[in-house]
Amino acid sequence: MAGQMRKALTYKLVLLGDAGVGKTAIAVQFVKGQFNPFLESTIGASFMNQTVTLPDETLIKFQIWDTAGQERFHSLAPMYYRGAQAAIVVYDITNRNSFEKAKEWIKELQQQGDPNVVVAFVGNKVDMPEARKIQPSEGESYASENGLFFIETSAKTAENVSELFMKIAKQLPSIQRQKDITSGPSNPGVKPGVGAPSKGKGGCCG
Amino acid sequence: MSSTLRPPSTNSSLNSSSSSTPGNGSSGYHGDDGDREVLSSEDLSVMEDIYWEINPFDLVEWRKLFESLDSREAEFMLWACQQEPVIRGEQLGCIWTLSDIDKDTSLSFDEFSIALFLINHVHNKGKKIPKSLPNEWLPTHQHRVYSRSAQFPGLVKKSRGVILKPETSPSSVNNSQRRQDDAIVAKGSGGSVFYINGVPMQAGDCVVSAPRPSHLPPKTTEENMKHMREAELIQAKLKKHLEQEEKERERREELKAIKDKKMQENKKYWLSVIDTWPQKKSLPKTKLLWWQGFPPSVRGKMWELSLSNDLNITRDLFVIFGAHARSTKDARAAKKRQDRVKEGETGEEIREEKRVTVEGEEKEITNVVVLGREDTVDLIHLDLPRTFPALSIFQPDGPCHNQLKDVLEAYVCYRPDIGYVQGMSYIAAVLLLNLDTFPAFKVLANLLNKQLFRVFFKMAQDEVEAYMNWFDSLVCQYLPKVHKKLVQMDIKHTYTVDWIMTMFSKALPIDIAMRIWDMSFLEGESFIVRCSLGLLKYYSNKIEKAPFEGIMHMLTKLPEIEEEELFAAIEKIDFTMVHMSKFVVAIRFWCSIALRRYGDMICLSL
Repeated sequence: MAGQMRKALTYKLVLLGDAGVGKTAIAVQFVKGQFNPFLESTIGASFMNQTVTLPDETLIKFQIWDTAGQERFHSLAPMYYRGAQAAIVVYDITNRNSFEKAKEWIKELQQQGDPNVVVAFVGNKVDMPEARKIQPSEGESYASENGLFFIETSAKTAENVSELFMKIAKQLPSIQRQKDITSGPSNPGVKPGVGAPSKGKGGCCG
Repeated sequence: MSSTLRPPSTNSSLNSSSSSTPGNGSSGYHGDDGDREVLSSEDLSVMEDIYWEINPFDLVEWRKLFESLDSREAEFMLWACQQEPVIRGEQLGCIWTLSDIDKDTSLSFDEFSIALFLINHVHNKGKKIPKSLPNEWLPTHQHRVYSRSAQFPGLVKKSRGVILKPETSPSSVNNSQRRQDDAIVAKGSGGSVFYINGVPMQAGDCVVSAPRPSHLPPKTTEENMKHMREAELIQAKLKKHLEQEEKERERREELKAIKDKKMQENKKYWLSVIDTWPQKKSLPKTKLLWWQGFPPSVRGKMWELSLSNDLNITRDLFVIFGAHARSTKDARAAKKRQDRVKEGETGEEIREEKRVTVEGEEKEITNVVVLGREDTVDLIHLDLPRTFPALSIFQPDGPCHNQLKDVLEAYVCYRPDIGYVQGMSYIAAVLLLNLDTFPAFKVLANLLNKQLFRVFFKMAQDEVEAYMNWFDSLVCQYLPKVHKKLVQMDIKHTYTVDWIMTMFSKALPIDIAMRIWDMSFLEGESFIVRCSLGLLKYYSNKIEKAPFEGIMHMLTKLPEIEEEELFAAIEKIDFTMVHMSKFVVAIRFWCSIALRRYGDMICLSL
């Protein structure tokens, strides 16, 4: 279907996690293949997009919303994760606090987010094994308890970064297809991300 | 003198570089058969004696030389005689005969390189000049575009062309007509990308046509002519592109020079304004010049003067909060250590050792009561190196690192109800680029006390939402077409969060941002809203046509900003503090709704 038409399926993806865990670094590594240890801190959120091709030739276009990590910006987060089909919750494996924060994000997503959202639980900074505080087993067990998929990455060395997005991409269309099956023959090629949710904002134009 | 002919690395590279010869470019001369005379064994030995290899570093030097010289026969011979008096005239004659392959009495760059290679060879080793060049150095078909590229290490092949890496190709297009047999050689100055044969080329790349692979039959004359025409077309396109780029660069430089001159002229006036402040504040001339932005040397002082110190911040207050910040930090560090000991992360012995020190500090810790957001200090340290990282002055070893840290830490202790919020580091950094530590703190405190900043740095959901709704109504009013498009694309105005919380200093080039700051100090925070609308107006045509990603890219990256055009767009937006006052009403209205909405919940939780 969409694969033959070579039309990209567009998905909204949101990056969540504590400040300084490497959300922007992961996104930049994925989108541009670069790493910069001093990326500017994200204020509010920033936007990037990248397309991946699945083995079955399906094109998946990610609209990536990279959010600010500081607690203060928490109130903005719902604007970004509402209507997102995928979320990457990141913690820093050298920082226990960020792990706890990541768990809170998972809880919030489970309560407030789309029930079908694909959530990746990501431990970043594996290039610093000597400073590790969170063992892989700990992240893994939390992820499996909550039905998430778990992966450890390094935005610095690019380890597992594209794997992370590929894994998400592989999970996405299946969910989409399931939706199509349950909700009848609606057109599958149309992007679910962009204009679909919350059309009816009163607005001022009248 | 003669060193121009022999770049330092020439000797060693000529002798040693053959190992790095790629593919077919070895010293062999058995490549093509041709219609050339059969070489005697002596000739062969002369040829085998030579490493037919040119070092790319030499090429770089030679390219410069080539650009600066007249490569016609007489002029070249005269120049070579002056440079290398050791070489006899007839030797030079032989070298010329070998080098001027197409016999057009002028050297292309390729031919020029051969000549220099041979001159070096004779001069350095006192050896004979070979009677001929190896086949790889010769065009094997009369009409074939000639290139020696395959011989040179450091070349990257791309599709049908061969691209010299930028560092080995300081060529220029100016000479392209002179070397028609040299195919396409080009160089750009900017970072733009153009396409040749569908291959993306970075400006600065140098293109030399690839030699025709030997397994392919020779081209017909028609085909060859067609290719030559195509090459000419590409060359012309390239030339045009480079000319445009050059023009653009010149135009920018001109604009900058005009601006600098204007600033220099204005400086005197601003110094007089500072001396007589605030008498001249409301003069029409002041306002007119204010719009052009402050000269950098008076900017800090003007900011300090024009923002009234409503909060009565004194130097003592700054010192006190600075000290308070340090003691809080120490206490927090001690507490952290204590927690770590309790957690039992460290080994048994170390734990014992630490307990002793911790017990000593325990008394102190209980004295510091932290009720506010003082713990956000940790985040300051995370953000310092990430603030204007390209400037490298706020990083741990940078000259302004401690100043920025002091200002922000003192602010956190001064307003623990707000604490440090990401974005503040940018505002404080811009202030420190223009002011000393204390005035920067004073201006920061008063600036962040403005209604708009209070809303954003507090980040209360209802208030921010109220602002977004209000801003949306403004976009609808001032730019209905843009508004329609944004609604259609379901783009919320969350992109303005970054603009407001850093006062554009992160999103816009710093000099343009500072000019916006100048105006904000004149007109008040309303100018930030006006500028946000101005930016939307600036991009309005593009926004109306762009897809979702394009719009998001524009609004988050603010590409291709032309300062004067942006300010022209801002000027057209009629928005002042009078309009801004409605904002306060809007905030109150929305918050009262929110209170009604959540009132019950608040009561319950109490």
